[in-house]
Amino acid sequence: MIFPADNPCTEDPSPTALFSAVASAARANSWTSVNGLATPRAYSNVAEEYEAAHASAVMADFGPIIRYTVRGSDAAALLSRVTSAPASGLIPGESARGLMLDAGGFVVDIVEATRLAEELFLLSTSLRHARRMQLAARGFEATVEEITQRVAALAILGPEARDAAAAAGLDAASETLARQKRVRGVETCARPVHFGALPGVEVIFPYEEALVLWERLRRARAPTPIGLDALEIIRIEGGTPRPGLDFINADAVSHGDDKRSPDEIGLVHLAPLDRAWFNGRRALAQAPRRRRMLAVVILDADETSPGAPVHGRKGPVGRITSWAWSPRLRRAAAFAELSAEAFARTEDLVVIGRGGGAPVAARLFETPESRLAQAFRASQRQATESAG
Amino acid sequence: MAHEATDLLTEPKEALAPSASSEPVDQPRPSPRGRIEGGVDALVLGATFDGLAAAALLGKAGLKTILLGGEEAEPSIREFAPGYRCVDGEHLVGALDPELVSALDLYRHGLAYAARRLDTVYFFSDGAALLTDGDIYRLRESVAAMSEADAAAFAAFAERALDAAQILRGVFEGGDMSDLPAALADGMRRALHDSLEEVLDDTFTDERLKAMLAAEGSFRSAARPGDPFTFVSLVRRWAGEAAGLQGAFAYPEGGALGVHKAARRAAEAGRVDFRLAAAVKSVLVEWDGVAGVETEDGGQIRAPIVVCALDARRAFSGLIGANALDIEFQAGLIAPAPQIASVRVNFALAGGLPEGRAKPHLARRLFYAPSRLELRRAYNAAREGWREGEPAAPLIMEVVFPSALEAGLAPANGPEQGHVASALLHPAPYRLEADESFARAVERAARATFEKIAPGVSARIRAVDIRLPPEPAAPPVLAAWARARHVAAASGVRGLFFCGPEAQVGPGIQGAAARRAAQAAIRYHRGRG
Repeated sequence: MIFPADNPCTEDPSPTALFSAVASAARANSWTSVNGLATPRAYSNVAEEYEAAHASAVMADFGPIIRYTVRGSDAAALLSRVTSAPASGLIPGESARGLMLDAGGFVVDIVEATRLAEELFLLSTSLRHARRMQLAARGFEATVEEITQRVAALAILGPEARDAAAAAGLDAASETLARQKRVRGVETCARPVHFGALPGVEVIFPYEEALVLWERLRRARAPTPIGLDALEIIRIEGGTPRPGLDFINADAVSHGDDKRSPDEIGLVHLAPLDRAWFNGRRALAQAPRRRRMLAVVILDADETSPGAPVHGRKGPVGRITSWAWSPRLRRAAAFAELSAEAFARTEDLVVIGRGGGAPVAARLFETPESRLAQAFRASQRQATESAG
Repeated sequence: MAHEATDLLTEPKEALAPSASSEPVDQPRPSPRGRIEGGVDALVLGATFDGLAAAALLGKAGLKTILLGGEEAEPSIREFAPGYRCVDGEHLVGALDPELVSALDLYRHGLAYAARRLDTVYFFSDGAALLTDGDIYRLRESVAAMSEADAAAFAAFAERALDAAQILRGVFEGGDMSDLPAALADGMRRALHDSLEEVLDDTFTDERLKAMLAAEGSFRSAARPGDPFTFVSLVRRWAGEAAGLQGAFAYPEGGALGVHKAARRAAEAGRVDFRLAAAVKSVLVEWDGVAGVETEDGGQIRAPIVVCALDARRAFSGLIGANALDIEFQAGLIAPAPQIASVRVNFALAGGLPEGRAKPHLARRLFYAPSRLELRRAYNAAREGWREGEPAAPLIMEVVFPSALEAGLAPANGPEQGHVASALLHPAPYRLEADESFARAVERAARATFEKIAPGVSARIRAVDIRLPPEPAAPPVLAAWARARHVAAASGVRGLFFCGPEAQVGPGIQGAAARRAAQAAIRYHRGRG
């Protein structure tokens, strides 16, 4: 689950269900807009929020993430078509990540499907896909409804997230299963999630009860609220690309060359070809040649900038797409889009500083996400060899 | 010629019988529930002309092919009034794919024309008439006789349009503009943008000439001549070929039935296994390719190739299912409901046409070209659904007299023989379920327009047969071309090929889509081998 690129220029962003509580806690008063919804960049201090996330537990307003409910006897079949998440194979309470692809096999979004009941799913997406969902539902016994602004979503992240959630009576059923229950008369759904490499619990509850639950959680354990900037560091360290920043949604690109395949954004493991048919699978099966690769690099510097050129031994091989200073690594960590050849050679890289500043050495960095992709590719190779 | 046509029309049982060397056909062979049948190379769904043609090409290429009919009925001959008989379906051929005719050797399989290169007589709202040669390249001579002032302009116009028609023929048959040399493609693209009415206004002064070309260009089309991109409608009309002549019309012996039977015989010669009674429940898609079909009786016929000659909605949404289609492909199938249609009307005429300008032209194609004002009103009225009960103006009407071209379709009434007039009326509102009042409105419009061609004809009409529901008009050429390209991709499902009506650009019996689908299927088969 991931936030899409923010748009700080949005005029009058709408409030999320938790806006009043968030606004009272956001002392830094630094705001941006995600999907047209007001989102705090920081509550007090980005470094403190980041440390709290790794040391104990933090809570974040996940209201700007788009939610759909998919109901009906064909709900699983519909989700298995629209996304590469194995919706049909989920048991109630279970969640799975996947990709939304276009017919050409290019990435539209990173999504997460949760089976809440036999014929009811929650689909969490970074971006809105009303038209795609509407088109996809034709011919299926399923109804799709966007509920983003009808619910409140609160994530508790960090090593102590489950304890914090449990203290407020909001824990998931297990490390893998969601739980739906009433907490003091409020209908809630708590499901285990990951943000980057951080484990956590996401609680979804009715819009009108938003402040009650926030307050209840704050009083029970008082997790530190965390804003978008600290979450961004965690995201880059975790190796999850961000739509609109590291790649462009295939439905929104103005030039076909800007579309990216799952392999090219480093999420090949989320669209395995041996999974049941999903939109774009046929095109993926024709194995489009990898042209470039999105990867996390660590720079020998404290900062860089999006768009900064990356050079290999023989000249430019890519550019920085997003970056953050990592307190744990004590360096700038960045997503870089590299040519497939440069990525394969794992050669020494150099990032050119802003305004033609001094070149800075950079090297590829292994993230939890890249480890998954690597393991997936290895298993694919093994399967191919044994089949051969 | 005429007596051969009679044979064709009066021997339905013999004509349907298979050749001596082939298996008995047409016998329902329901497989026992759950039976799985293999050893088949290709399945063709839909016994339409395109389905038969595709099956024949596959069979001829050596593929073991089964044709599954479903609900499609072949054109039939029927008596609509005592002694008066008509053949359902297209009454003229104007765009039959010459490559298909040659590949299947359809002439050897019984395709014959009772009249090739039919001359057309245009009737105008001011009462004038113009006889034009069936050879479109000689049209300029007739136009010169009507309008001296426009003769030179028409010669240049015709040359431009006919050149464009020749160049674009491959594109209309489902090809790609990129197949054309770049400079040529660029010029063609510019030509495609023009509105027919604007081109006519910029080129000619004679209103009758404008009315004639506007009516020809918009006949059977959903687009009005004033709409953008409609010049290409006329180009499409002139790009067709019948009996080896570009832009011409021909009347096949037996009408549409004659063409259909020739394709059927070609399929029989290709040892195609006909199972017209077997109803298909679904097309089996396994992983990324087709695996055959499941029949209504619970059996399966396994085959790596399925060619669909059914309409796209039924083929993709009904038989394959959204579950196996890319969302973008499915979105491309969504089309606005048709608004404009053409209606087929058969008239039983006692004693033929009354004395007048039309009478000597029974063996020709008669065409009423309304004035452009009448045409605009007719389109507007059709779009509004004939709310007043009938159209405000006469419509475009194409009339042929099958009884004048082959014997046995109308009785001899005393000294003068009776005749059957087969007419196509356009534009009418599209109605999926037409009621009595709609039929009455069609009849009034048909009679009124027929009167414009042959004043006094109403008194000779003994019976009127209206084919309902009306036929949806062809979508604008560019939209039809885009859709044809889209459906031909068949969603990328391996082994699935499509040649339903949506794969065709323009109205009428064509067969180019079937040829393209079958050729692609044969290439696929050989690639697998």
